[in-house]
Amino acid sequence: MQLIKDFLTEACAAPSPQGREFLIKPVLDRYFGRYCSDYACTGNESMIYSMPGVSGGARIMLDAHIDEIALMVSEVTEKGFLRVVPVGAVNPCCLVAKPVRVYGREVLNGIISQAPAFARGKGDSVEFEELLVDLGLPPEEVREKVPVGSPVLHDRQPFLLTEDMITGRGLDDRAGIAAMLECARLLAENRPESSVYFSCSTREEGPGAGALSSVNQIRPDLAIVIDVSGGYMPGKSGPQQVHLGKGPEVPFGNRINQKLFERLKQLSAETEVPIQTVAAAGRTGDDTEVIMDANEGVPCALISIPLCYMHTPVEVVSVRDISQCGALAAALIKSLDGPGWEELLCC
Amino acid sequence: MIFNSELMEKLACAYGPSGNERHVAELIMAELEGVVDELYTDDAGNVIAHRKGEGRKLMFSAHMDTIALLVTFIDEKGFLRVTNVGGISPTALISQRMLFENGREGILVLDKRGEKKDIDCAEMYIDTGLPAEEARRWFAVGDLCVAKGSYYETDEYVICPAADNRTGCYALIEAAKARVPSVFDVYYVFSVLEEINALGARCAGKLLAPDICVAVDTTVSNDSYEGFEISVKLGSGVGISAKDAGLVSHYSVYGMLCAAAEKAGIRTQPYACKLGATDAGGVSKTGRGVAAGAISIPTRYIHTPGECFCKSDLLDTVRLIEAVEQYAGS
Amino acid sequence: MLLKELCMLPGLTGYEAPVRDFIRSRLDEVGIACRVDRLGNIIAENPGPADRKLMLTADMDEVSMIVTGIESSGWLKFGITGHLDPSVLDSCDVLIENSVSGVIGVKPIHALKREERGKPVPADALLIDIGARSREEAEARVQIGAKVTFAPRFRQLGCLVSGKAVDARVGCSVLLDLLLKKPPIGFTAVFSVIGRLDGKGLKVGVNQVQPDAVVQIKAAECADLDTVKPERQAAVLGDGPCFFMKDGGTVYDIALARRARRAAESEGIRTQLYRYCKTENYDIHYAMLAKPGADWLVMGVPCRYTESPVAALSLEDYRESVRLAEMLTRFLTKEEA
Repeated sequence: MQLIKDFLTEACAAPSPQGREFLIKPVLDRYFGRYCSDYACTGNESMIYSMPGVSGGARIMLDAHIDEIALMVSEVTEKGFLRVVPVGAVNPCCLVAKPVRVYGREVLNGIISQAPAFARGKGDSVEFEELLVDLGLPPEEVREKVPVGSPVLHDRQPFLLTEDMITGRGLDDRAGIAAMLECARLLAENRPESSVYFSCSTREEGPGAGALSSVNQIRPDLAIVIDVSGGYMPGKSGPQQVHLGKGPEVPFGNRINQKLFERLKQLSAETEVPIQTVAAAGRTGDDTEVIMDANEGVPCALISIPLCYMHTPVEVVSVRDISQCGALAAALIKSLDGPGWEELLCC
Repeated sequence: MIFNSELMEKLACAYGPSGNERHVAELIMAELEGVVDELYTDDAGNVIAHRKGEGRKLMFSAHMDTIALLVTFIDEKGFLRVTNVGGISPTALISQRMLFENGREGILVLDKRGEKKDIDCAEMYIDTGLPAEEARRWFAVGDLCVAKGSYYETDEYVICPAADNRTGCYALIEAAKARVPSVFDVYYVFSVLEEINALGARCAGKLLAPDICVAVDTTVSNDSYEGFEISVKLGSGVGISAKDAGLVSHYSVYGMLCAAAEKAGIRTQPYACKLGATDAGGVSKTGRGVAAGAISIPTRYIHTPGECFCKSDLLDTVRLIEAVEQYAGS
Repeated sequence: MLLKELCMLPGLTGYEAPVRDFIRSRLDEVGIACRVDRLGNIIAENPGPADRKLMLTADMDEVSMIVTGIESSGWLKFGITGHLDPSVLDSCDVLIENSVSGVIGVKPIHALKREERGKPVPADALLIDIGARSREEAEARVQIGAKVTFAPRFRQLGCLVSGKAVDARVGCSVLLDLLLKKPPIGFTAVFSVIGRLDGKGLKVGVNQVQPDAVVQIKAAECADLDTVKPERQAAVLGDGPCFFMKDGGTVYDIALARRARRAAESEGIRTQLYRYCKTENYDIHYAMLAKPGADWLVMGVPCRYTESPVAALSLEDYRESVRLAEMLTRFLTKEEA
């Protein structure tokens, strides 16, 4: 678990907004490079670290997205403030009175907020058009240093709330990347026959599809997608709540290959890794969507890490859940050693 | 560079709804005859013009299609009921003249018999000026019609139908004709079905597998009373998209576009917006991923019969395409 | 300038001890006599001649919260002392008893209906997450009544400084800086408690000092953003310290403020009038009633994003404010009531 904590401490402090995910590559190189011998980059800049298997083994793609929720500068105002648009789904309420970093020609400190209540007069709602980023600089200097399109990220270092609970910006989906890393660590000690490709996919939040470019690069036989899912907090209603610290969430449904799901349940019992199974009636809303129908179709397994406060700067996950997720993925891959893995993928 | 009013008028007034672009395709093929090394239409209906070159494959994409209405029913009075093809704004089309492939016209009217407050296609019908039996002879369920408008220009501006995206087509045509020496292997793709999820461009992208794709399309502006939040004005240069609703532009492509513009001294307006999508988003997802971006002609009143743009912005767009072909590298 | 050190300390309304101790140590170091009264105010004497009894005062406390309940799920309920805009609390970091970190997190956007997006969660529906997932786990680390502030942080951006309690402590910082310079005119400095709520500390201070003239130094909330019409901006960062004109409880002496501004101008100190008049009560008028007829000037350092973890002010305005405070000691001892 120390590996996960070390990785997240660095990764949650590094930037990877959509379109500039390459900024975090040095961190990924340093960690995945310990276990993976090969590297490839797709036309959409997804970063794929891999360990070759033996011939006849399956080609397995693991997928977690490396892009994080961000804002983007759309305009410099007359007074030298910045207007922003969201990249990915962001509730503007979480952007009031927050410290940020602006990645222009230099990296600058800023504050994002709205006008105080006495000057607003419009009512309670927070709207993007009312938010401004303050850099404390005169307008000419801002125009020179901050071009339109510059990413804006929360200025927040990750830290542990307890021994097990970590909070940080971008845990969606660095938690998934960390789980892939843990899986890589376990497989490096216990090499599978399959060729395993860890795709740190770009452009998942919002309109892109970096995972699709990875599928076309790798041409996998099956994929294991690792994303985060909304964990229980008071006030969150509905059946099938998943709780932090009670193990990874493993959904089943039309997106998920049934045999792979059953195999995961079986492995969970055998290895005593607790899981929380969930019926996913419709779409799962993550990279599974673009992977499963690529080319001739790619059977998918999905393991999610419960996460609180998704798409806000204060996301929280359980480190143990991440570790168990990685272990489960590694167990699934190892279980595909030997002949017969192809039958698993037939309907 | 002189504004080619004749070409723009021909393009703007051509009938070419999403799903039936062939008249525009023919027009474009005629314009580019003998101008490029290869000229053909692919299986999807896109017009592909290839200027052979040594370097990486660069694909420019401008869509030929416009939004349209599709006839779903002919009622007992001979009125045509319709549904939308692409992002129609019903209020923008009420009382407008609609043009059909056979050259006939009708007028789009609001059906006021119902109680509904919101106008959508179900509350509209087209009166073609024919009695029911005649109407059934000349029109059929499945016919597509587009808003009819006329071309009008002043010294600096143009008001015409279909500036989205016949201005993009104009830009590609004029750039192809200019034949500037290029560091790229250049493909000009005049795509179909952009208004429907960029289907045409995605097919072309898969076929050509370019290294870089730059969409040339229109973008909204904020210098009228339409109320759009975007830092773009007419007459201030070519829009360069950092982000729109369909794509976060690839950092390398965005940089390439800005650098080429600066080198050639072309005015640009970088923007990041929540609205609008181009062919670039679709093409970026093809194959192993394609580095993509978009340049845009600022346009008011998009998706109405009277769209308005500034001639100098369109000419700047042509210059920018030429500059990218010549200079892009850093 | 000791603003950063002052801001990083916890100083909740009614629990100002850490700030008080810090200020007392600094005053002791330079030999300025001070005592603490029964409510917790520091009353310090700057030695020197003076024709009138002059008092300069600033509050020590910041807006704060207190843990009011521990849910069975492990999350904590809290109450607010003073006023806070609930959208400021959304997704913020807090610190409990200066040692336990927590976050105030809300439901993700995916779990909200369309209409709910953009609407801040009301403060009484918010909870603090310290990572505990059961009441027992929470109770082992936090008790009901535990004191909560925004997580301390102090950053520089451009020509501004920003952080927790910058708006709350700027008055203390200016007054402390002034005392440490040992200005020639004699006056009494009162660092008061319970300013955030209703100024009870200040009233008690006035009762004891019985001054002829008072200058209160605080922050002045600015709305000088492009999204606000000029007539609603109240004050502009960088235009110098403000003089207040009125609040919900009383009208201040505007003629005196104007004379003070002219005097400041003649010394090259920029000032502005604070152009928004709060309609809420500022119980300062109770303090004014403690010595009727005294001259009152309320001076504010322009500050954006007040009552948030990122309250920000301009260092240039800060320096002007210290200069203004010194000038006012000379100006007010000459004024006749």
